[in-house]
Amino acid sequence: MRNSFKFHIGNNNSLRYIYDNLKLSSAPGRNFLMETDLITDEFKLKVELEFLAYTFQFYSEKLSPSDLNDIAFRLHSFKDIQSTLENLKNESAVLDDIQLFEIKNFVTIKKQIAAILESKGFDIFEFHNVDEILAILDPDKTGENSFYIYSSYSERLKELRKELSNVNIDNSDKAEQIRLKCIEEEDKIRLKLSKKLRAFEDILSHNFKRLAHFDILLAKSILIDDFNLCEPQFYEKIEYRELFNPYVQSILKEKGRNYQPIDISFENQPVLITGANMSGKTVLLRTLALSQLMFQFGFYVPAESANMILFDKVVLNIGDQHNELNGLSSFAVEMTNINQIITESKKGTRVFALIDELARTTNPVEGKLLVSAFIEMMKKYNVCSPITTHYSGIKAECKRLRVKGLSDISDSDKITVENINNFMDYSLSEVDTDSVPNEAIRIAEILGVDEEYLGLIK
Amino acid sequence: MGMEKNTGKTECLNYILNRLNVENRIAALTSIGIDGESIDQVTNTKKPEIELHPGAVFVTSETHFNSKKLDAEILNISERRTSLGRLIIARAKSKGKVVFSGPPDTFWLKNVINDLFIYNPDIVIVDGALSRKSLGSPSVTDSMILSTGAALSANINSLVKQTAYTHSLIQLPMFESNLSDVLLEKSQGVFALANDEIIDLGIQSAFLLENKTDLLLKAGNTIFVSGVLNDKLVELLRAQKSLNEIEIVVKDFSRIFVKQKVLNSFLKKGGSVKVLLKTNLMAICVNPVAPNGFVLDSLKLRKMISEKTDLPVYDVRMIDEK
Repeated sequence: MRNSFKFHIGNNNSLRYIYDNLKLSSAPGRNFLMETDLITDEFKLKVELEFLAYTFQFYSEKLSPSDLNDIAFRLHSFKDIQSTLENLKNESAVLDDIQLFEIKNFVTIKKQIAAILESKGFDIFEFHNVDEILAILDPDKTGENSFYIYSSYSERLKELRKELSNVNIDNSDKAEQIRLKCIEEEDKIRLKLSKKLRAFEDILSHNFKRLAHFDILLAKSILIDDFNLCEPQFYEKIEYRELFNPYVQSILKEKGRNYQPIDISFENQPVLITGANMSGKTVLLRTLALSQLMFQFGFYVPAESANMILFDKVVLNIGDQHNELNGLSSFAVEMTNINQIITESKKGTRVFALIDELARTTNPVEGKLLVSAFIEMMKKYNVCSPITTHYSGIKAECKRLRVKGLSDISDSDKITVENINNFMDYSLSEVDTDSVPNEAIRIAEILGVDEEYLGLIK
Repeated sequence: MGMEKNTGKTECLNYILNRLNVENRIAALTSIGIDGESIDQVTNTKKPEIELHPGAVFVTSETHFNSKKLDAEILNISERRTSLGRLIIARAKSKGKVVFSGPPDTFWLKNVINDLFIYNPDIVIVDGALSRKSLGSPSVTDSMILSTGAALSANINSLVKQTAYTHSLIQLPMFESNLSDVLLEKSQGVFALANDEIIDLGIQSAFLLENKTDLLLKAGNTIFVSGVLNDKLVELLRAQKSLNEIEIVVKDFSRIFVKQKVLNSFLKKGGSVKVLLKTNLMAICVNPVAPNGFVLDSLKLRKMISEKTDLPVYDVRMIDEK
């Protein structure tokens, strides 16, 4: 459960935003995606991404807007009938009219969609033929997807219904008697139909999953277009060109600001990221986590190009998980999370550990030691762990990246809270010093903090 | 739509359905809200079953669908659930009776009505009731027939007066605004409307006005009450110095539970009440028989109501006798 899509969108606003923009058409599509676990098996993920690549190409090249509308319209009537299919497995279960309708409706929709897809040459996965099932539920061959116990199922039912229709409805005793006989006969037919359908339970379940899967693949394909996502490549290190965060981008766009995509690359090792306040370090971590989650839920990712590694777990620790309910301070929550990362890594779990300002809530002397030691641990156990910090003098050996920040600005530039975004260079460069940029006071000035206070600091 | 239980709404509906059947016209039916009881607890009378003819399209919950006494072909099933299960759209294949249940809110009701038009009916009929509990509005329809009767009051004068009052509420003017759709979706709260802006007054409902009276007119003279409009709020506003510009907006007439006296004095002092949804009242049906057996003079009752409302008034039992 803690690795399901549902769990992750509950904990990650950026992923929530992606989901909110995903154009799923059917309830089974939504439910399937929610229950999907992070894909940690390389083969499985490759297959899923191949399905997506195929579907995206199919969507881009073969489907006209009217085809797409047609498919979406039909998918919209594709209901979640999992409980009915479960029921069908049960040897003694007799389906009622509503359940029989659900199956007929599903089979009809599946047939219509499969026909559109096949006519356009979609062949990456097969839908099993359902004509035999349809024949059971459409004895009059009307082609409609409505259902009731048709008189043509039994001569006796036909006669009873005729008899009933000739009885005055106010003669309730007589009518009731015939009605009971009808119900008895109908129940016999329901039992027969249920038995017949049970033989097709496999095919029904298979088609049900396939159709839900297709809805997800189609929605993911549309998303690629909507957000300009790229196909992630499997690699031994992480390497992004122009990584971006669609959620943050949309917020900035609303305010009329631009989003600066980032190039970043690092090995399956700890990497220390420094930079001034407001230089986007936290957003960077959130974006790395988002992209990783999208990758492992079988999406394309928000970048110009992306080389990726597979993990068993993605842990994003943004020190704001103060847990008042458990009476834990933010430091205690952080240490608990850190400890879990270490324990899991020692067990051999491949963890992608993204840590924002480790040990920021304690004294800088011990804080530095906590960060240094953590980096050493991560290095020893080969954990891919981007860590941001404001601390100078972190001695541990690791790759170091710095956000360029306001470094190239001349004094004549008038920087304000409103325009700081235009002056901030969010790009990263590799550095070998253990000192960090000292820009806190300057940023405080820009933020318009009380002058007397600033004077005292200087 | 019935003003009270046992005012003959079901008989009126059955009469209409029979007439439609004679004229070979297809009816599609839904009701507002769900009512789990098959026996009315208050009067111990049976919950009405509606008699359908083959071809009629109807909406009911899974629970009531399973207890239907006719053959019906399932056409569609809703995604959303009511407390009696999902809503089923079905077509009657034989003559017989069914208990209706329908969408419990206005938005869903509108959608269901749209869905029913897919099956090409000649008319869509909504079985409605005046109830504080129901969030569904009968005013989403083009027209309305009101049923009233001795069950409401055994005193003919009082019955006529109450009916005429409801008639006057149905006639309330419409509040013209491009905010209507947004306002209709609000399920609770009292708001001020000023310059196309909706300002939340921080009052959850007209029942929770304690100590908040100063807030009411702070942000403007147009007040929108998303739930039920009661005596208290109207009385509070009446006490204001100048009523000339004070306007109360409600979703539709069925949300107004204000005594006639209270409303009249508010309107007399210059205040106004408007509705977001308005429907056209076509006719009134009367049932002169009360559940306890008391019978009013049908002809006199019809004449009196017709004089007060200027509408055709019918007693469906009398039409049958002709």
